[in-house]
Amino acid sequence: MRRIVVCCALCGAGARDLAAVGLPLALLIALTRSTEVQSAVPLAHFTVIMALLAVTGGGMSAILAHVLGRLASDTRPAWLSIALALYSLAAAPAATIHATFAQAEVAVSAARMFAQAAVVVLLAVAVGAPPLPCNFRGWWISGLGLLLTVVVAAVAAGFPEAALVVVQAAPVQLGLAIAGPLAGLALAIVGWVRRGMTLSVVALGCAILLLMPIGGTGTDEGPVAEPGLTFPSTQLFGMLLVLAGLVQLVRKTLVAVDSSRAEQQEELRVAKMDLVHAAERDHELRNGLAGLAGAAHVFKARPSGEEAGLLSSAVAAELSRLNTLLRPPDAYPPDARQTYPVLPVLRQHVALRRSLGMDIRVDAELGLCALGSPSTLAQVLTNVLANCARHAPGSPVRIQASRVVDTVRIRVSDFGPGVLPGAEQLVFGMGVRGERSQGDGLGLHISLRLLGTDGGRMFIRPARPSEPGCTVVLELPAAVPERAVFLQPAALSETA
Amino acid sequence: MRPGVDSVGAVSDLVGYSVLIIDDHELFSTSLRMALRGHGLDAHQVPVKGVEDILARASQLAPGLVVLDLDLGKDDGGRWVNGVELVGALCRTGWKVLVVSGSVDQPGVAAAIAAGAIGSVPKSSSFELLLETVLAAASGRSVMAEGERHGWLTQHRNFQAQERELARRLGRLSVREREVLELLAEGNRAGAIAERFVVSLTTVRTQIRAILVKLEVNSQLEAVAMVRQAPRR
Repeated sequence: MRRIVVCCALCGAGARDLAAVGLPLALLIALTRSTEVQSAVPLAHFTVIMALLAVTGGGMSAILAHVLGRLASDTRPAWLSIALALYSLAAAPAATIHATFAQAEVAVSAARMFAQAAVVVLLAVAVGAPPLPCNFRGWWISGLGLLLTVVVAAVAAGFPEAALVVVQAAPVQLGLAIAGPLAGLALAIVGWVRRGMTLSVVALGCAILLLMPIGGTGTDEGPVAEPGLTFPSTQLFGMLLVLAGLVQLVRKTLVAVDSSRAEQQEELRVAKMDLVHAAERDHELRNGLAGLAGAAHVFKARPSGEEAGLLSSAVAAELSRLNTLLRPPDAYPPDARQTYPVLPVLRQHVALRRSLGMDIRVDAELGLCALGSPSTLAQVLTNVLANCARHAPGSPVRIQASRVVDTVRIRVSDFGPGVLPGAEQLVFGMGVRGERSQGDGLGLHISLRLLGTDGGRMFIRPARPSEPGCTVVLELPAAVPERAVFLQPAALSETA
Repeated sequence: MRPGVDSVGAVSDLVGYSVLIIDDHELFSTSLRMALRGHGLDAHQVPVKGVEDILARASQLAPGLVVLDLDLGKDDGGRWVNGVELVGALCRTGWKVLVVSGSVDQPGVAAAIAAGAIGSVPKSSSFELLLETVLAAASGRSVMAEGERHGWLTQHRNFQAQERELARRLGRLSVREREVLELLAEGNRAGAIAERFVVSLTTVRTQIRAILVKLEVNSQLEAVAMVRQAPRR
């Protein structure tokens, strides 16, 4: 089953690429074979210019393929790079020399055919993509290829008769003419099969690049051996394909490299910010310790009843604040949710704040139960009420709690300056503080996260001109009292 | 070791001497106020409500000593400017300003001393030492050696030069880039920022690259370090 899918994908991608490459190629061949075009273009100049462009393109492609291999840690482009370098260094120059002024030279023919064969072999190696020989840079292989080409030319010049036999042998010519495009096609097929980085377009370019005239060696001209416009043109076309494919691949790979670098930087930055937040917390803890040390000092002097009361409530508030700071919000496992009555928690805080001199009143529905942890609600209330005291000092505070569908909604209102319109969301950000606030800006942020772990949320009601002050709304998942289950419409419809 | 207050005589001079405690940490300021009152000083806690408010409160008292908490180098550097403004304004109206700082906040303390504060005490020192220093300062004794003072002033000049450079680079950012940088500095991931602004991740990444180039830094780490150093309005 999977094989069929792979085959279909292969055929689809292959057909698409082949069509995209084959149609322009057919057009190009038709154009260059038409007599009008042939008579209009000066052949010798054209061949040289095309060869020059192909060699330049080959050099660029070799470098790009090398970079690609290094960037992607892939040996296939590395081998391709070696093949392209050898093409530019040996195969293309030899073919050009042969085509323009040395068709009769057997040494040049031999060199041309050897270089071509070497390129084809390297391309075939790229199909298998074995690891590069270690301590042996790719460029050396290309250099070696060039050296061997020269040696072959020299040998052929030394033994022209024997060389002519080899060069003109039909199987050699035919094999060479077929092997190049075949190797390119094999590489393209590997590209279609493999997902991710595909060298298919590049490989098809190589296949076209390695098309070569059969015959054309020595004195006689074979049936296909027409030293006309066609082969230089197809060569350049192939080289352009190779170049375009490589440019695209390098660009894609660079984007991937950039992206992974950005991700790494992001990890570092986020880790650093955690450290910074820990440092801020340490700072707050140090402030708290300084306060506690001061309180201890004052208690030594046995303060009067009223002062002692004030100081001990301040100590309690500070301890609660430090506790909140120290408890990571993630410390609550999700299964710690329990059903608890809301009203006692509210009353406790109201009593505490009232003892600190706040004009505070609570108005709540009876029997309200929430799902979660009562200590979460307690800590969030501590933060919210501390905010009221800080931003609306002296203002009365009203707490209303009611049930709305399946949530318990607690509204804490003061009559202070309120929050600027539009800033309702912003105040929950880490380190956001009011102009007048000298707090650390952690309070509301921590509260929001705490509530979130219980499945609750918290927001600031947008300011209304008719009602000054700030209203913070806490929403907790409501716990359904056992008896009330049967009254739920949803439950009824399910049983029906 | 700072000069101590050794005898009742030294303290009796200070009866009724006004001390203003400007610190948002309620327990600390309450304790300090009570301790100073125990020594007969006329100590007051001032709720932190902005510069004008504090100055108005100060003008109602005979000028004495201000114990000021400097909490700088954090996200909302608004107080960076306000704190220094406060020190300057209080000094001009005849108050002496003693800085207490909860963290090692070099630029803040340096700026406060350059603006005329007579010295600084870290909150991490013992409460007794802190109290002694406050009493010493109130009785008019020096709480900072001249050399130390010069050191702070030199540091302040260096910090200012750094800040100008920072402000120059941050000034190159567009409004959106500035927003992105702020979010990065809060520890948000690029993905979260993209969601927030309803743009693609690529867009945010491009913006981040532009920010790095404009700030002349090589990594996001350096960029957020810069934005956290920079003073803000």
